[in-house]
Amino acid sequence: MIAFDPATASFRGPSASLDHLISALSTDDELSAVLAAHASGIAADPTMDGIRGALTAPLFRVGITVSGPGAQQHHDLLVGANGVGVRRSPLKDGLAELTAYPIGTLPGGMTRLVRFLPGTAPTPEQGPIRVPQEQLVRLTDPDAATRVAAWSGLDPLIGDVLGPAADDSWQIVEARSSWTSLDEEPGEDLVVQIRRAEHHLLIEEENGSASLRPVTSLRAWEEFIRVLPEHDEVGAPR
Amino acid sequence: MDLERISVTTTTAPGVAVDVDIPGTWEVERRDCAPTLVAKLSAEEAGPFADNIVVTLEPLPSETPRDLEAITAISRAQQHASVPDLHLLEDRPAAVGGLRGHSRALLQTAPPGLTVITRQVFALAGDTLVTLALTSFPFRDRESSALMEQILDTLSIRLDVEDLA
Repeated sequence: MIAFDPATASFRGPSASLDHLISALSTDDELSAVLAAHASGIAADPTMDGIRGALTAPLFRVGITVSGPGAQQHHDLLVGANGVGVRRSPLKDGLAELTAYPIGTLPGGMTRLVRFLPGTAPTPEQGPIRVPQEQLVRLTDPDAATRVAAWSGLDPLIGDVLGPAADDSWQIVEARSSWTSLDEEPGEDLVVQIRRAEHHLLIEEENGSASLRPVTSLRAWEEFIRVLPEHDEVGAPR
Repeated sequence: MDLERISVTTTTAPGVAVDVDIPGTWEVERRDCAPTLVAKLSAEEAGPFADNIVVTLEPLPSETPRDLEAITAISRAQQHASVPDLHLLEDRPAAVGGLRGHSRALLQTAPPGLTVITRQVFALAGDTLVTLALTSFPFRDRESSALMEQILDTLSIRLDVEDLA
């Protein structure tokens, strides 16, 4: 059953039910009818108009997937032409939430969603690390065992260059943005990066081969946040 | 971006000067107390947030150990206690203005509810703690990171031995 918290402008409920509600909110149907069909017992609230406005006319979207040894989470964020931000995120036990957020806090929100951590700086000798491209793809697999197996093949290659890590934590972050450009063409961008304990690595691909470039954590964050389109790239929503 | 060379000094920290290039069109305010210099984007260019550079030359009390890592650890704790929604991005030793220094980057929420990023460097010049911070709006981060690179490339910290004598 879906619940609405007016204090945080958040819908929460089972994932599948929430996604049906999101689809319905993205139409022109009367709000009361949408709620009756997908979130019975919830009365219309003024904040829902802002959420609907953003869902029906998004300026740009960012999809963020964080994969690690234990879990994989996907977050969808969008910024509406009405100046409202909306985020869909998974919660525990098969639940999910749809919540509004102030668009000025988007960079901070993205940073916290991926639990970005400060790291150490690579030495000048610690250059790009060639890795099998297919191992990187397996690192983002929905199956945890596949991800763990892929990491067991990559970690020694990284360790040969960067040395032992402070702990065994790791994650790979994929951030995809999409928007309609000023000339009404689809625009998109993709950033993929890895954190191995205190080490941050950018993924570079060229001519079918892949390498991991060790960078400072600030450099990694700069690349991450640049998945957002520039203000002069985004046109009216289509 | 056109940069202009400036020199930052204060009577409270005699014998120390910080030379650095900053944007020539930014509005500059100099003080004889901390912060020693504040330069910020003009209102016409700023949009929702005025990017700014703050330089501070702070004489250390005699009882404070001249240990930069200990000093920056204390400042980090103070920032965690006072900065809204602080999220640390980087905090590590780094060369600053030709001296052994420290580099920090953090996010915070500034009025009126905007994420901003602060890139900050620290160095000890004798008995003076030198800090320089660029705080900017992340939606134009390409320009800000390039500016910080230029600032750090041109930053020089001078200890005028004759003035200290």
